[in-house]
Amino acid sequence: MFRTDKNRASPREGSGFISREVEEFQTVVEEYRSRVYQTAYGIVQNADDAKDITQEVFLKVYTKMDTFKGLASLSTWIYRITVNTAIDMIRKRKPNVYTGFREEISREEANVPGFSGAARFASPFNATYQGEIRKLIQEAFTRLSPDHRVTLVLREIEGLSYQQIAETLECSTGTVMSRLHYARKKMQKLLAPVWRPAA
Amino acid sequence: MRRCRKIRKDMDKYLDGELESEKIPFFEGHLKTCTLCREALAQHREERQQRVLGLLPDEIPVTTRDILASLQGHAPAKPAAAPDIFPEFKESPLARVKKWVFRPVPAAAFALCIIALGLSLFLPFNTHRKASGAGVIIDQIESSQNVMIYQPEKTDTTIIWIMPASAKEIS
Repeated sequence: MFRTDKNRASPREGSGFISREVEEFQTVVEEYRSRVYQTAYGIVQNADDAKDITQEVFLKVYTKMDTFKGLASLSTWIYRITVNTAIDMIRKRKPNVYTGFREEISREEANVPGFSGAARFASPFNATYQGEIRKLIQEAFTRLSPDHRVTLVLREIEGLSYQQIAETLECSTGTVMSRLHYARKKMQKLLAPVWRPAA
Repeated sequence: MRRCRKIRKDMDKYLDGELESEKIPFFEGHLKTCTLCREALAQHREERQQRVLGLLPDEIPVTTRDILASLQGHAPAKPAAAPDIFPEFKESPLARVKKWVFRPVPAAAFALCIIALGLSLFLPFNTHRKASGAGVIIDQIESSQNVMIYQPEKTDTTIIWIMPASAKEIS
């Protein structure tokens, strides 16, 4: 954990002098950069927004380190900032994105030529298939509510335990389990034509 | 069939590694005997993996350099105040001064310094000292106090000594 002091220098590129605190902050950035970006991307499903969120998160970490009380771990604190920033971004950019104007992806949309049923899993690395499926998964995902998105991302992409998710979102593990259940159920329902297309 | 329903219900928890330990033997025991549930679990796992792949970014385009550059011009966090663990034992400024003044070693050192300074100001240490180095005594004036004018060799400096009556002998 890096400490801060009154005379801490701003990070200056090419200045030849980097204070110890900035060096330590750099270590934090190195360690969490990928996780923050991945989480942000998982939630917003947009590369540019995820990049902005990542920079905003580290700016908040840099300027608000004094408010970090050490009650939670540093990773939980950084995840919490990431999640809140990403949710703010979703609400700001697309207020009605998860209202669900259709209940499921149509069979036509899910009809990826040349791949159906078990054959899809036989060649999961086919680029065309991957690209098409990916689009459908992303579309289905953006129809979930922000809370459901966040919980699913923290569990399935970041691999956090129910307890860690509960600490990050400041809710009970029961709430985490319930959100996960509904998020997965909805995803399964939306992607049913993709996983089990009509014969 | 009722067992199969139970297993299907717990599949996500099992794959998350969060299934209660007492339920695991039943779960795995059933999978050994039921082909349908085994296949369902494999497909479920596959779907989850596909879902994760679909949500993952292709690359991480943000570098540490970008992030550090974006912090330019922003003030860092203020230093965190030291936690006040025992506020009731907080010292008053007066008590802090007293504590330092009445400590024996600093107090003795301070007293010695004062005495030394006093002695250097009021005692004529050099009255009995012979003038050092070659030089010429130019004149001596008899008065109630001994006055000696002295010029060191090869210099233009003239030293006038006014000595107390007790220090008459300078030879």
